[in-house]
Amino acid sequence: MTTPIVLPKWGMGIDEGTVIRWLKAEGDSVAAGEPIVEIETAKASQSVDAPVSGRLTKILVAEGETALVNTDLGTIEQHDG
Amino acid sequence: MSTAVEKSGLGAGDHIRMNYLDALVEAQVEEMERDERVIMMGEDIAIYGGGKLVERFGPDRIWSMPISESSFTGVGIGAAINGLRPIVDLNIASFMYLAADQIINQASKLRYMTGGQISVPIVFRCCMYYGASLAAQHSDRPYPMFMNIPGLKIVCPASPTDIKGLMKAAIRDDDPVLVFEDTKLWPLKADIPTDPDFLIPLGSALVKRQGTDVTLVAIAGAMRPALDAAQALSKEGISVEVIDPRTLKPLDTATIIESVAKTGRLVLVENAHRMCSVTGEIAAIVAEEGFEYLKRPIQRLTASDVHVPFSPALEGQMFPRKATIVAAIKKLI
Repeated sequence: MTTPIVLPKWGMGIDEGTVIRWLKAEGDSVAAGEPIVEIETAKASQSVDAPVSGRLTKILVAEGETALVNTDLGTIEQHDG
Repeated sequence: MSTAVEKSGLGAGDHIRMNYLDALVEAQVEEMERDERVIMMGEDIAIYGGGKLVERFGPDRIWSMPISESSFTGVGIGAAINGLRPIVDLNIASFMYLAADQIINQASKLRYMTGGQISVPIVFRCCMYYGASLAAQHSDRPYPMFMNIPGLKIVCPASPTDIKGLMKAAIRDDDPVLVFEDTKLWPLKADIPTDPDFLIPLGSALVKRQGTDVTLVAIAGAMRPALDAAQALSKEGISVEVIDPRTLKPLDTATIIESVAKTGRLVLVENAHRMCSVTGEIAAIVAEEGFEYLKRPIQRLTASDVHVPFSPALEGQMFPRKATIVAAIKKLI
């Protein structure tokens, strides 16, 4: 099953964020709760954690790009079982 | 706490890249360092931000206030009359309504009613949130109604450089100044001057982009789609001059009329409601003082005269966008 990694809405007035650094590459295994991407917003730099365990299959927003909140930043293919 | 400029070790003649919110913090900290009469007050202000401001300046200068805008705005005005220079943080712009009696009946009128014996050097700050499903009671852009009050100065800075320079000028001003921050501008970054005496005089507009075919005046958060529209039109050979008034009162009408004299066409964009808006005022002034320059009727793009909906689908249609600005300009060419 494919699960999206979503840019969260961290607070009122935070409508967008810029990807500073991906901490994992496409194809890497990730564990649920593990930080996988660093995002800069107007108020702070924060990381987004993997929502599930699996393999990072696709990066949809590259480093340096800005996206609106609720955008899919990438996808994780969950391990079977 | 240290500010970004202090951490950088840069001298007064340098520039440093930072976003709108950081530039605002920089301006306030610099002014508090420069003048011990400057204080800040607002709801929970001593604890939010991890208590950093109160660590630096102490509780005598960072005042946490209860959820009672009318009363603490009155306290701030009293403090200003008695020699302090308060920055009153009213947070969400709709909360200005709760403070309005104190702002209008006291702050704006006391110099007039005392024949100049009293001045009220105070800054009222607030944030305009919208476009994020915050619903009608937290999404207003109420600067037009305060423009109708004599005795108030009003700024709507639209870039990191402008928020720094105008906020510092507002704090140093001897009369009440309202600072409306548009949250759509928070992530914008720019190279801002590190000079602690960098000021932008209240009442000076900025030509953000030179052009010859159309004058486009945009207010606050409307500046982002306005600049995008001007950029897109330049690729089609349409040259748009983009002006940010920056201060809404006193309004720099000379810069706008000078531009209209050159282009003969005027498009005005803002995110406040249409009736009695700043764009309505600018249109009236240009009709009175620059009518002979106009080749085509003035176009205004604003929010409709309905309350801001909660529904994201409906709210998305509420405000001028790049496409609607491009269409309005093409109508005039």
